[in-house]
Amino acid sequence: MMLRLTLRSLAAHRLRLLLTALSVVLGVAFVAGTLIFTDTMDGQAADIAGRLGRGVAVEVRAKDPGGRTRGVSVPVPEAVLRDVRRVPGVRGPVGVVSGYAALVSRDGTEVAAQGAQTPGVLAQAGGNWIPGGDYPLKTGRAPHGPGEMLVDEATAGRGGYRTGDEATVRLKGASRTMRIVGLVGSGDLAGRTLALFDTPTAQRLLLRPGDFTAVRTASDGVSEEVLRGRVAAVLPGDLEAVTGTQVRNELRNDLAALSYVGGLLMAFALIAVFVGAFVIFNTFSMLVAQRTKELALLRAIGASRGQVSRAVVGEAFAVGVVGSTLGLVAGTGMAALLQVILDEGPTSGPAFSGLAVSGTAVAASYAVGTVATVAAAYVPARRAARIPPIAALRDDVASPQGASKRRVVTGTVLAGGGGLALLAGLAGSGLTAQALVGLGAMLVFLGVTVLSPVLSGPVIELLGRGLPRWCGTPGLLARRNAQRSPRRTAATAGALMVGLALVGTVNVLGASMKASVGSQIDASFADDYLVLPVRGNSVDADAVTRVASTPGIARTTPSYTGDVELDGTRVEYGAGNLPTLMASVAHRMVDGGLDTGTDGVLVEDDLASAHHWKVGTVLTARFPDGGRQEVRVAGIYPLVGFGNAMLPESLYKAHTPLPAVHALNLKATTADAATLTALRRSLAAYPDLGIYDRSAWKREKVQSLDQMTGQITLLLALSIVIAAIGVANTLALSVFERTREIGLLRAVGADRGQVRRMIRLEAILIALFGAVLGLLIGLGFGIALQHAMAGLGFDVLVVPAVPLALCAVLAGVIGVAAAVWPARRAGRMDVLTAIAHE
Amino acid sequence: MARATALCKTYGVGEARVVALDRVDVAIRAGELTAIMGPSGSGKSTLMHCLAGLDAADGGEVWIGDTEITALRDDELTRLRRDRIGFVFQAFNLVPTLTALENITLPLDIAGRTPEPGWITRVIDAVGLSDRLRHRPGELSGGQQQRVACARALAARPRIVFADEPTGNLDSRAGAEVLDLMRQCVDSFGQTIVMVTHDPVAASYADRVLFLADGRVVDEMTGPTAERVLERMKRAEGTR
Ligand SMILES: Nc1ncnc2c1ncn2[C@@H]1O[C@H](COP(=O)(O)OP(=O)(O)OP(=O)(O)O)[C@@H](O)[C@H]1O
Ligand SMILES: [Mg+2]
Repeated sequence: MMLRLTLRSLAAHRLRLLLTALSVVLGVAFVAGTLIFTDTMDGQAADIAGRLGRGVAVEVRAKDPGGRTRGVSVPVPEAVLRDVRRVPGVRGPVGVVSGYAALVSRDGTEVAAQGAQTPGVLAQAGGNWIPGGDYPLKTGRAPHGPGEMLVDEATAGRGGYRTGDEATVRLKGASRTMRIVGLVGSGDLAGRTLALFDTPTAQRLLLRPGDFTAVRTASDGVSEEVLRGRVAAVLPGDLEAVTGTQVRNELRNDLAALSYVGGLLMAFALIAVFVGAFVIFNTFSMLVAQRTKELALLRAIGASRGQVSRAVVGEAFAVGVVGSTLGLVAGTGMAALLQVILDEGPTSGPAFSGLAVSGTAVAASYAVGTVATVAAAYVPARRAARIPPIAALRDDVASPQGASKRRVVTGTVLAGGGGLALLAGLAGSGLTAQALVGLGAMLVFLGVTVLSPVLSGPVIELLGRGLPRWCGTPGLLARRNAQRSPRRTAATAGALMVGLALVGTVNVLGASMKASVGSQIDASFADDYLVLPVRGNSVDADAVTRVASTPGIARTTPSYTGDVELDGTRVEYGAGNLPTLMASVAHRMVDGGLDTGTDGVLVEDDLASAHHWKVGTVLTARFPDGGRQEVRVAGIYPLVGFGNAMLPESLYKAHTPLPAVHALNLKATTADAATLTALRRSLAAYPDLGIYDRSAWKREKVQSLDQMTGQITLLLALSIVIAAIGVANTLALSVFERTREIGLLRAVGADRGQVRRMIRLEAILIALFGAVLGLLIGLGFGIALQHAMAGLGFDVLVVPAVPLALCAVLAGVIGVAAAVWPARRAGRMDVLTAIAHE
Repeated sequence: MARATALCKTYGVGEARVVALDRVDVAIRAGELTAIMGPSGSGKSTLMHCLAGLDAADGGEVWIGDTEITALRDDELTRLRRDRIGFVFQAFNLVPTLTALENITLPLDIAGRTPEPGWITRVIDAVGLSDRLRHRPGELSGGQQQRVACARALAARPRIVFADEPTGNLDSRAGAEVLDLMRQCVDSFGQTIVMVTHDPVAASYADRVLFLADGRVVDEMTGPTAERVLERMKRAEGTR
């Protein structure tokens, strides 16, 4: 009986429920799309890793000291290869060399890797070509000697080269012109570029003569694990042997690290689902209110409370299932689209191998969609069950408004608790803290939503104060209508509030970060120019010479970067002539001085205090070339742009086989347009090098922050669209409920335009109410976040008035858009039928 | 003031075809309260809706003053209703979110007109609700609501007011209040009113009664009393 009732009701309200389902669809589509996308990425990563590591039974490489950060990677000496060859059970061991090498196209720019690349996997890779190895030759022949190389087909094509052409390849710190003697297949590279040399050349250009990055061997039939044990026995202490399986797994994980994009997308997907739940909640509340009489009649003829609420929950369940199904379909499409966007070119081969729709993704999509819907309908269902049978006989259909005192208390407790959780989360770090932040934000939203029926009356009164004057009677009616059902208005605005709060947060944070970065650059950009690679990773020695001899340049300060283990902790460091380098960033010392001698280092403040290092502490430094040396802490400095330690140039060069300039700080005799032009002319052959003065550098940094803010805002637009659906849904229902009233207005002379305007203004008021709440919350979140990040150098708080005002305007526009359909319906209503409407 | 010639209206087709108005000719005289009576389903409401431009007739002409309205477009009809016609319905006459006063001035506000000075006050005095003006319809009794509706119908000084069973939902005392008010409007303001009613007592307030049956005007009576109207109705029952 109750099932039949549920089905009837679904059929009766199918359009409305479909519209409601749409709000589930969008959220679930995002969830499903994200899951399918990451599954697909992972499948591809496994595929590539399987092919690249095919046949490897054991790999010898630098020992990973374990812990959170990897240690510095020391090379594997050739002598190890000779030792491994003698291990019983190995078959065809080879030394592998890899390093940075980028093909330069004819216009002088590096051919960049295609598609999204994962950090930790070299995107522009150079190596030694091994016959019968991972990269089969497609045309041409193997490279011999210092002047020859192979490149992959796709990269050659994009650089405009063919077999036999001479081409420039950019290496760490230098460029070389070499002949392309052949092409290798590019099917396995996921958009990476590849340049291959013979082994001695690769060693000389990418690493160090006599060294390998790793040694790999196949097995004679012995198991990987056994062979690994035998190989390990012949290794020196700082090398380790790992199985091929482990190598493939690691490579797979590295390649699939793009799933961090997945994590980010998932956050937005869940926000969308959360907002969708608001819309569901509201629709079911309205449907229940509309059907008060019907439900009361059921109660009067003997239906139990449970039966009534189950009937409503059953409807929600059906809506959730339908919404999830449609969402899954839409999500699959979205994942495909995402892949195309990220791959951006048709040349990356296997990236186009179909989507992986796993059972987990399907199950998760249904779970998220259905649970959110049923949970959102729970309160309305309980409310339905509480309708007294007597309501069947009464005329006032208006749903009882909850005790506002209890509402205020509940709302305040929720919002307050949420705020505390948020602050606690911000103070901590790690996954728990992140979850706490998310939970806190959610509670704040719920709390404010519970409170907002109380707020909606006065706030809308204020927002709509001028309406009757500017828009006449439709304005007055719109305001009254928006105030008519505070709970409905609040829930409708609540959906919009969430999206706008997050947009507000992002904008406050973005503006604060921009201002902080700007003021940091103002304070620390002490020289006149900075030369830095835009693409690629180093400045050619030749470019350094050209810059230094440019007329008008008084002083050129090169800086370098590298990795070192200090007492077992891996640290990224900057190096150079420390007195001039530190002067060029206008820094101050916390303790000690710049006089390092040959064995002194500078350590960043936080790192030093974390390890209780003081001026004078002696540390053991271990370098990537395998070298080991005692160093002395000479000074402690506050965070600047150079990593967590500073080394004198001599120390860097002593332990770096291929030293390469990371950036140049330039002091000019006169920093004018002429100098800049001269500088540009000097570097005309290096289009990948950026030349910045202080304001250009600021623009560069700020631009990337702007991009980030823009992208996140765009992702949040999804939840705003869902909220707009909610507004449209509410208005459509209200228009239906007020059919008679609208008919009356038309009878006494209101024209269609006035009726439409009334609905539109009501929508704008509700949307603005949501915007006001949202932006205020966003402001709060933004300030809290900025505060939490002040320690990271983001110490300036900026409230971006214009973007926030634009958000409010946007909310109004959303209101108008959401009102289009309901307003049309209201305007079209036939006067007589409306008046006769029960 | 308002007249219709050869007015026809049918609903449905084939078996379900109903002739609601069958070539009706009526003339409403200015400055009079005209009552329309007749058995249920005789076409009273249909006639009124057609006269008031709420519904489109299938044939014939309707004149309000010197305007022929059957050819007007929707926006022209809306303007006509707004500026020249007032309505009182049987129930649900008022916008629930507006106060009594706001409901009274609603047609003027919609039109963006300012009321003639003193007129609204006179109307309100006539209605006798000066102390209830700030109340919402939900806080007024049924009779009070109908009186507010009358005041609303009069506020814009329309040429003609149409009232469809304005007292149908009221008890006899509340009904009398509303009828007194309408009579007073005719007598002291010269208002033209057309009222549909089932009640002989209500009809006795009118200057003239038109009797409808099966979509035709079958009789009319000037200077009606409740007894004569009742007698006329009984006769009609008998002849059926
Ligand atoms: N929208 C409609 N569709 C079909 N038939 C209709 C419609 N409106 C009215 N009718 C028919 O037209 C005829 C006249 O209806 P009308 O409403 O004018 O009667 P009435 O005299 O006002 O009756 P009552 O006293 O019950 O209000 C009736 O037979 C009715 O069934
Ligand atoms: Mg009728």
